[in-house]
Amino acid sequence: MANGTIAFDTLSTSGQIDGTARSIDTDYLLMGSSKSWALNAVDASSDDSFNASSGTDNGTGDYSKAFSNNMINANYSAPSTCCEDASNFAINKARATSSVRTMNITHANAASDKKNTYSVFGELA
Amino acid sequence: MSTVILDTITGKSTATTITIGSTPVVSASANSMTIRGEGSAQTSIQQGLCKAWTMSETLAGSTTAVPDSLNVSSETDNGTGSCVVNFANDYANLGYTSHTTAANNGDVFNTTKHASTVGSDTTYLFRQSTGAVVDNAFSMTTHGDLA
Repeated sequence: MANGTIAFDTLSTSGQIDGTARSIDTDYLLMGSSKSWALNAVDASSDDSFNASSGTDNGTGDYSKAFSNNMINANYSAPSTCCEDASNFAINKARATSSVRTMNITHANAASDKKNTYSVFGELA
Repeated sequence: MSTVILDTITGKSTATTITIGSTPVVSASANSMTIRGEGSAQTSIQQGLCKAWTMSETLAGSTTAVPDSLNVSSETDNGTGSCVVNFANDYANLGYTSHTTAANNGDVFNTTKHASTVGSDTTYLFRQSTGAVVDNAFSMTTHGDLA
């Protein structure tokens, strides 16, 4: 059986976490939720992920991750962070509607095979 | 097909479930809320939400930002340039993402998700020019599956 649809503009909570009731326009839920994230291993596979399928190892510290559901354009944001090593950082090297590419770099500007993470914020196709 | 138009749906108890077909779309169950994205694809609200964030000044240095957080029980100064962010509600596994950005300083910093447990994430901040650890304010967001 196919799922149905509920349309609503405001989501309200009773404050079960900290006792403060809140409400939010559902546009913020739709536009503000991450559409894909992953913790990439050094072979570009995922330790865990959301809306991510296959990974490609493009070379040292250079990983691409394909989306299960594509983005509507390549103008999304994709903060990326290197993991588990000192003085390395990650850049968002490239963005496509079907994949995101990240790369780890040391402070001395050398590529580095380390785990990294990304989160994608934008609009789904 | 029928259409119901109303302003508020209020459950009879705190364990209220809204079910369409055989799928609970709002309930206490895991991964129960799915929404259609901007196009035709469906996306999970639970998995897409940021589960913890902080604007931290635990490592001192800056007082220009007002610290605030979500799902953070405490933060520990772990030595120069290192801060342990403890979650109020833990993650289900170590595969969660973590993004940290240094704040309030014109220098360029590297940041790493250096050591993680399901209950905490340790971040390090570095100077880009030298690779040396340095204390600074920072912001952090994490995404993943809660326990």
